[in-house]
Amino acid sequence: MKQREAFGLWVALAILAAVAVLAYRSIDATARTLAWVERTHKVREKLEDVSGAYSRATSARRAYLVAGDDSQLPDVPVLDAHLETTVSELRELLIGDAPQLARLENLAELLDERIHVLQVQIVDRRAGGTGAETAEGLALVARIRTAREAMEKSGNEALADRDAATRRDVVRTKLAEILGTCISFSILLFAFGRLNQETRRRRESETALRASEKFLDSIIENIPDMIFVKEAKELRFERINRAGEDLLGVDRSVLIHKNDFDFFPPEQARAFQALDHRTLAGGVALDIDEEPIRTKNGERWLHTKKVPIVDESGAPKYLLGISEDITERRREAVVLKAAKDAAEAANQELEAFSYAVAHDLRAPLRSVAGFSMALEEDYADKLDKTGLEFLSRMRESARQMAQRIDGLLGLSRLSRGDLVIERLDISRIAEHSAAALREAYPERDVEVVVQSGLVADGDARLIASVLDNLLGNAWKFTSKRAGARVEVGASTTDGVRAFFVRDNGAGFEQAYAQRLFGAFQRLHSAVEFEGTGIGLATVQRIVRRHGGRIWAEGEVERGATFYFTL
Amino acid sequence: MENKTILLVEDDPNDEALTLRAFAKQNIKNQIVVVRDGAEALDWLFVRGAHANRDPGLIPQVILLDLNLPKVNGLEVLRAVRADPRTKRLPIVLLTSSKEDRDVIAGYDLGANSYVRKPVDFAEFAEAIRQLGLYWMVLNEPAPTHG
Repeated sequence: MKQREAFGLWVALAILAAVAVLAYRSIDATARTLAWVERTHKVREKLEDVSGAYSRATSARRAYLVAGDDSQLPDVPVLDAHLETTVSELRELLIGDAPQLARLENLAELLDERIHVLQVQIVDRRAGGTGAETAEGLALVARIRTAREAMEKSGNEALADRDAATRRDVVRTKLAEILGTCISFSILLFAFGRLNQETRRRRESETALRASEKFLDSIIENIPDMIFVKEAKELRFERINRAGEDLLGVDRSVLIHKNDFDFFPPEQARAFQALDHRTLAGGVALDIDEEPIRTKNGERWLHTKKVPIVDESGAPKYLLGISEDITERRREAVVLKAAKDAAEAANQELEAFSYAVAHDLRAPLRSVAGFSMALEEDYADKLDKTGLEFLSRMRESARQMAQRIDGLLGLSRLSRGDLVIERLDISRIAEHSAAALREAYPERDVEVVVQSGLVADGDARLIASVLDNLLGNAWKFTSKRAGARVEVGASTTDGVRAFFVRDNGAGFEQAYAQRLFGAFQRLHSAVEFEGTGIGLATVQRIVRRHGGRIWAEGEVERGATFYFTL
Repeated sequence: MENKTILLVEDDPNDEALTLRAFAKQNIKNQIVVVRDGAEALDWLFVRGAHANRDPGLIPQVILLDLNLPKVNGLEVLRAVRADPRTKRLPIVLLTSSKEDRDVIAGYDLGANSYVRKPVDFAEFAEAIRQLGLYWMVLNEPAPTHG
């Protein structure tokens, strides 16, 4: 396209130059013709002069010869000289026109001859002759006329030729001008059209460019993180977005072309620029997790990424920065950490407490139990049956309290330590618990039905403890029933899949279902069913630590079902 | 058997009385040296301080060590005993109330030979003492004293 346009332009220029040359040459020719015509006219005038001078030279002589008037004879030499001069002048005019010059020489000769003849006749007359015109003289006059007329004719013909040539020249010049004008006009018209088209095209592409710039601008401006660009040499700001203005509390009109030292404390500006330089020198993006920045709105914390922008040669040109304001998140993290620390401290306190319980509460119990037994052993003969029974009760109470302390410790231990979550075969764990119970209570005959293929994610040790407890309870509360049956399975109620352990034992009143899970809460007397009252509390703690839920359904003497999710 | 000494490190007089009673009940007639805190235990073992004048040839067959002791606690006593060339091979049984995992682990890490939790019930306690006496006084062969 461009090549074609350039070619067209050169052709147009060539045409215009040709037209100019043509016109110049045409005008030049016309000028030359005009000069020639002017000379031809001068020649004719001079020829008239020659004729006049000849007439006068002959008339003066003929006046004497014919009328005897000799008054004019004294003028004859002057007239002859004049004729001579006139002929010379004509000759000069005719230089370069050989045919006319030849004719002039012929005429001049004839004129000389005629003058000579007349002079001879004058001499003859003076000598008494007649001085009459001879036939020869007459013939000469005729020849002079012919010669003169030949010259005049030649001049006229040439004039006519030139006239025609001039007219042709004019026509040609006009044609050349018209043609040139037409071509120039066409080229101009074409060029104007092209220019118009080009202008429109440029305007359209500029509009498109502006639209695209506006689009990019709106993206940059609306990004909620600070975006800034610094030039690579003096690290002056070239660009900043709205989020950046808001963050720094500085208008971009103030910021642009200034650097960090104009806005931040010197040590901070130095730190920023050091990282800028590192980014530009390293040629790779830099990720600054946390950096404090002192702004007009107080201190903020940023997570900043700095990216070098290089030119075609790979030299750093700009530094692009993207900063996310993490002040709030950081504050939340600090609060969260404080809460976590507090929880940990509380946990540690609990641990210390548990440790003290384990150690310090057991020792006196051991004394109570130990010395009551010593009393029983050493002083049995001094006590009656009732006294011995009291001692036995004391020992039993001490033993129970020790059990409960151990239960409490186990419960508190559940709050500590990390869960090791893995895929568990619940069916297998339940079978395992049942097998252990059968071994521990060989006298019992309990039908156990475990649904196969039960799986869940959990901590193996703790989930085993859950099933040990639940199955142990089922075992315990079916002890007074013939045809005891324990079922382990999974069911879905209200879209929630839960495991369950069901028995057909003593059951409980549904109204007290929630109390089952409190530590030392018992719905049966120790005489009926022995126990520490810590088992279900432990189970609930474990289930909750797994993010699950536990609940129970029961009816007195119709059995109980414990559900749990993991 | 009777000439072998047992060192009992126990701060609780009740526990001390019960332990001695249990030994007596089980007919264990060895000399039982009782010290009441960790610092005293170390003085006795290293024949210094209040025990500087004791017979240095008296080397306990086993040390029964409580963990929760005044002044220097049981684990520190254990560490000091294991660090000293004179005592590093002495059998040490941690006889304590705690069943905390960390105490058990720390005890073994520091080189305890055994870890026994005192049962609350005296009958069980007496049985534990009997078995301890049988094992450490009769079955166990201690390291040679000089060598």
